[in-house]
Amino acid sequence: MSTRAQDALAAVLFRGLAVLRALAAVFTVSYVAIWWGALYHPRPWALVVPGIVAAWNLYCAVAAARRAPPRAVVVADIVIGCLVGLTAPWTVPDASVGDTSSWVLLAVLLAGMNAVIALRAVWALIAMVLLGAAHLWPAIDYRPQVLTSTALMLFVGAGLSQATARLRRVALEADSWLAAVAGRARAETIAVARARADRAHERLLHDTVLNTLAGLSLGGAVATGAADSETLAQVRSRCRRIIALVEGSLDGLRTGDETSGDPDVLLDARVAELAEDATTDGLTVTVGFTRTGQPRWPERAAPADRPSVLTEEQIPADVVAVLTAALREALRNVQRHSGENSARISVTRWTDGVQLRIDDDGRGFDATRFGPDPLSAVPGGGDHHPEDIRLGITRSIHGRMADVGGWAQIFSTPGLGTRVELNWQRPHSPMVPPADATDLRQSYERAARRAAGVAVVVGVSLLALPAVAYRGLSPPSVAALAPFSPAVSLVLWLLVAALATWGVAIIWRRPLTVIEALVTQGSTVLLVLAGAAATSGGDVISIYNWVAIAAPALLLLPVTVSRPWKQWAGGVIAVVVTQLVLGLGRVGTAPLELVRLIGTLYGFSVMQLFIAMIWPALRTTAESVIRAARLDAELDAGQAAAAAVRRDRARRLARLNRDVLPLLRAIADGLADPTDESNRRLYAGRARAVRRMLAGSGGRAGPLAELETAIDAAEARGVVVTLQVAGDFAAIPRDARDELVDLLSETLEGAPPGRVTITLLSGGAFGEGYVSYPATVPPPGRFTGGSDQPAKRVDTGSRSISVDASVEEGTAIVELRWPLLPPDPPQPTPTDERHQENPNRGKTANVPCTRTRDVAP
Amino acid sequence: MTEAVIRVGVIDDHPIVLHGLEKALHEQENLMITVTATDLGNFFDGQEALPDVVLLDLDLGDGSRPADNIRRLMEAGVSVLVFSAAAHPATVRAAIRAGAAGYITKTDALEDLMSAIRSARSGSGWVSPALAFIMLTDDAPSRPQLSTQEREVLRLYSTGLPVKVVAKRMDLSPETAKEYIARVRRKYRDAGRDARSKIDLRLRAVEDGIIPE
Repeated sequence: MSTRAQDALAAVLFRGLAVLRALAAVFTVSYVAIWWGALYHPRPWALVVPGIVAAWNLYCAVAAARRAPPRAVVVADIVIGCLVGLTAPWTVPDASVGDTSSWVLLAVLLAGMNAVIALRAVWALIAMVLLGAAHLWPAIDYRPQVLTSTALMLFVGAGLSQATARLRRVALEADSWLAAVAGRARAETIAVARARADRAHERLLHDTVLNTLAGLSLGGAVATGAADSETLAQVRSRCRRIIALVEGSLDGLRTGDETSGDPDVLLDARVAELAEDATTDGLTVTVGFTRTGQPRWPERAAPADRPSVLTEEQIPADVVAVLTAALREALRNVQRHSGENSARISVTRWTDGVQLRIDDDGRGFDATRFGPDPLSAVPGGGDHHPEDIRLGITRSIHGRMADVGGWAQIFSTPGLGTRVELNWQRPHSPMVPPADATDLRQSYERAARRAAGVAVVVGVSLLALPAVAYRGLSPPSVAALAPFSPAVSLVLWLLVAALATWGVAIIWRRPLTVIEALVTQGSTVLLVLAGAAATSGGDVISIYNWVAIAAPALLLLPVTVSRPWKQWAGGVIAVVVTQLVLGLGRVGTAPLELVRLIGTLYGFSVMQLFIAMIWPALRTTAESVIRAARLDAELDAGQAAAAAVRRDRARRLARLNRDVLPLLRAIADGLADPTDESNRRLYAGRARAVRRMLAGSGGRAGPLAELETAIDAAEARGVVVTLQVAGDFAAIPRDARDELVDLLSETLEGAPPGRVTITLLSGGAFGEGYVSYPATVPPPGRFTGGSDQPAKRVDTGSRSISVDASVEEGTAIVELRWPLLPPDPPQPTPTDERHQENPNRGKTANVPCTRTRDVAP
Repeated sequence: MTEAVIRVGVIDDHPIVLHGLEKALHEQENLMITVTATDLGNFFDGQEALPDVVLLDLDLGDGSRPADNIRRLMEAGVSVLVFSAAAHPATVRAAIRAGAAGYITKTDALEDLMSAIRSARSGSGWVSPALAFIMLTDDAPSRPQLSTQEREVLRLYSTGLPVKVVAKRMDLSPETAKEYIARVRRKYRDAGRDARSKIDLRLRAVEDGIIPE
């Protein structure tokens, strides 16, 4: 199964974490260097833990850059994070215990992020709580910084958890859709192979039937001398063979009984019934039904097409029949091969489809060997090896599902049980796939920008706490601000909030422009300077200067999610340089302030970097969705065409069954004499009917199928009808079509025994028809007004069709002319070769429509 | 003067059809079935005197291509009449291009079959209304170019109108109308010959190394 979007997202997350790890290792080394003289030189044993942490970070950075870390590494990371937090009082200087700018917090935070990315939500929550506690508890006396850092850690963990969950959901949906569509595509391949085989088979069948009837009409059963009984025996044997072939083909077309009633209720009832049956046979089956009330893949429906109230679309009865038949096969498979005596059935109903899932914990098999490839899907073969039997069942399940436009997926591994999924989705409107991947990517990016906007609003709101709580605690370094000291903090918060609101309002609708980005970046630098002006000395990198240490990360977020990396990186560098210049100028060589400065810059930079890395994942997800949508749409088109072809085949076979098989049965059973003259005429008539049907020219399966009744009646009177049709008869307006059938039927009714040629041409702006037969008097009925030459317009009362009737040179001629509907707008043309099956296709071009003779008024 | 007996061969893979034709044609005057076969191999085996006209089923079920079969028979000096149950129009056109003298379906009346055989024997070719219709509705890009007159004659004739009526409606003599119909058939045959010549030329050029394979 392709999991490209999920893979891309996982790669981005783990690589992002790897970058953070590498930088954390650098930070840890820098931290140790800064505190070397104060702590680590005098107490070298304190180096052990930061050394391990730096090495661990480097190891994780290298390992995670290549692939997702194993579960054991994640657990080890959490354990190390907890131990680092618990031992913090002994491994960092007192002044740095519980501080935000400490390698301890980084180690704990990165372990938490790792847990959020790698573990399930509940385990990640437990890990975060443990890590938070391990960080808080030993440093509880070092308030308020430990509270700030712990809150920061939990905030980052929760935010990351939300973001990854959302991104994962989108990626998972994209991948599962793509995988399911790929499954359908495989099923479609089988269906095409089957259709090809069926088509060849049926062509042969019809050809055989037609040749047999034609041969019999010519006297093919008439004996020559002593070979009387031998000839008849051969004819009878041939008839029996044809009967078996037609009946076999008819059986193959039957997909199940079409019981009336609500198919959904029927499906539930059938599933319950089958489960009961299986239980009676010794298999314990549990059944679960889920109705989601939602479409399976929301992306499949364009917003304009999506109804405000989602209602379930009915499952067609033939799909219910196939689903239950395939379920029966799957349950039999469990009974025979799994070695288990229990199975679980889960029925999931989406508004636009259904899935039946059958799970067992049996011995399983190598499912990759039994995929629905077209070669293995060709029916036939008498295999008895257990695996071959399973292969047969696999074929049967795949084949049945493909017949109704569904698909099956079988997941199994030796020793690990088997899961069979039977899926059916209703074909959707043709406008589903977005124009291209760019549109969808933009849609995802908009969603991501809005998520960033929400984070900015939440973050800026939280900044109100230090803005209020620490107002006036650090005297301004600019004397002019001193009289307004407590209010400055609040004013700065209002400015930050205003800038953030402006940015969020823009990114809610669209990305920031270059100018807007520059304004945001410039304003942020100014706010950093203002923050420095509002605080004094080393407070410039303390929480008192929240404007400089926390706000820039939020204020620059709209730029990061809007602009290319060079542009957002420019703003980040500007802020970093400003803070570095201001910080180094104020804190000098004081270790605590230095590490806080470095820590602040680290946190600020990596946050922007991490967020910017999400974009490739979004792009890949968008591409997956687009691929799925396109494939899905193509499959739907093919499926619709295949359904039409199937109906056509069924009609043709039904007609053979009705009109020809009784004749052949009578011969086979010795009840009819195939040499009898009247029987031979009957065979000739049936042969002509089969020929008309095969040519798509008037049989039940062809255009103007209604005409066949009149043709049958005429043939019964000794009229030999030749029907020639070209063009698209769907373009005849309904009333004209009815009228045409009436006129032609009436003409046939009045035609004397003998040859009648009906020619119908449809194309361009109008259609025309001719009926000609040997006669010396004009056609009767409504055409009686016609006289001998020249042709005369006859008032038939028809509003849609003009009719001319005449008798010329011993030939009665009825000429008809009718308007056509304008052609439909061009539809997407699927490449599915099953389309070529439709006998009515490809007959529309170049139908001659010129008339050289004026119609008499 | 007594009309010469036409020697007819039938190649069809359906025994009932072969048997039926034998019976049906046996009763006709001046006509003699000299050979029946289920494929071309059987047909040529041990044949010293080939028939004048061969009724050839288009799909012999042996994988052979109808056009190849027609050419092979024509090279042997036999006039070929395509005799098919329900051939696809494109296959019929290909057969005419390959040089078949006419096309008749197995469900057509016996008198039509006789007319077709006689026309094929005389070398004038047999264009039934059904064949006219198939040529008229040809939408292949490689179809022969027909004049307006030829197309109109073909259209009226394909609807089952007698040649006389067609001629009268177009203010032509019946002979001219017939000539138009025959000309269309010749255009198909010529188009097939041109195509074959082009293929031959290409093969020769490939053999000579003038153009790459």
